[in-house]
Amino acid sequence: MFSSDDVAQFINSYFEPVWESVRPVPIIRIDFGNGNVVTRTLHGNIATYVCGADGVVLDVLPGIYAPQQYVDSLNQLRLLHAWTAWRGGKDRDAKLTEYHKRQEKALHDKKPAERFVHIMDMRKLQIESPIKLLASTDSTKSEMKMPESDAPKVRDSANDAAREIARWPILAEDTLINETIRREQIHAKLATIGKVVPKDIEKWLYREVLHADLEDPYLGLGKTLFADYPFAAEDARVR
Amino acid sequence: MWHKNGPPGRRVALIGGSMLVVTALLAAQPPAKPRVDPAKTEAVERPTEKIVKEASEPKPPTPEGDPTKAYRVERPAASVVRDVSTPPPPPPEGDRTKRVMVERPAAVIVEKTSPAAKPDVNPKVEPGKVRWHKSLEEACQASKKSMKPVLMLHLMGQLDLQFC
Repeated sequence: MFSSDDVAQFINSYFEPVWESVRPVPIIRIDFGNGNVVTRTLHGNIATYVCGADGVVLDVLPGIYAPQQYVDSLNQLRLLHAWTAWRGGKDRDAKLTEYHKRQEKALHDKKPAERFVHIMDMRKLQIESPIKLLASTDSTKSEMKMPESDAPKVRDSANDAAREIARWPILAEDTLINETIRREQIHAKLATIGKVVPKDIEKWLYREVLHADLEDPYLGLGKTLFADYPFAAEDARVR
Repeated sequence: MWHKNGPPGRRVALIGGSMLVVTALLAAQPPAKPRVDPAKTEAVERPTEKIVKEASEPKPPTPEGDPTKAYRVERPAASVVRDVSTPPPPPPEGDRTKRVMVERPAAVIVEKTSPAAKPDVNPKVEPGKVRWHKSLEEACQASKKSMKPVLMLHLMGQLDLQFC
């Protein structure tokens, strides 16, 4: 995804990006003979935090997204940052709590999440933020919506493999789960926990939301490795 | 007793006379050769004077250059065979072959042969086309200047490896 020109250009234009590894990922290599080899990772996952300049988490995108949805969601978090930073960000914490509560409620009620819209209203420009958080239906109807409210289009990759992955049905399903069930969990957490930095919630996020325990010494492969082990009961008795 | 051989004085005079006769006969014979070391007289050894003289005089150069280089480049075959066939003396302490680094250090061997070190298992790649900062602190510093939010990507594995 980060090799896509459109995705990379969007991130470079609107963010200060950095990446960190939270743990190693298991890599399997199966040699089928005759030169046919499959190499891939198992149980890998990502999380994208959007933070202020002080490192405080504004919101999180859990897991892997389809490229267009990823850019669209990041664009919303860019507007969230602008919304909370209005007038020096003095009301940032309260606004963040409000935002997470409203999003959690919408998702809990099985409604689309609310959306930020950049509105050009010259009469209120001096006293109100031009960015509004609106219900999804209202955001699409707004006539004064600025073009940058919507994320840029991500074109199909010229690379065949990347194009196939972007259109992979499983990726689309996972993206939907990320945007509904998983983000609802995150909104609920951030609405109650208050100001945090990524390190404060990374173990919780991976364990409870992405179902990958960072402290698991078997890197998520414990069941695969030991479920069919015939002497497990005997070993347990000896211990 | 006296009348058979005469008186004792006469007998002494007879002995002295006969000795003179023998001496005179010996003096008339040719002189005998002096007794010396036959090996030396037969010239088994070269005269010492000649040997010293030849050794001290500079020899004229041979037409084919330095004879020591021409004929003595290789050691004698006997000494070569002897040195190769006889076992070397025992080392003074420990295994000398390891002390003088005949073997490579175990750490180097493990490092260079372990699967993780093989470049074809999971080679380094460019982490996409995004211009990543090196640390969260650096990104936060940049954010203060640019007023852009920080995008922090957490992942399992390494983004700059092919499989992550």
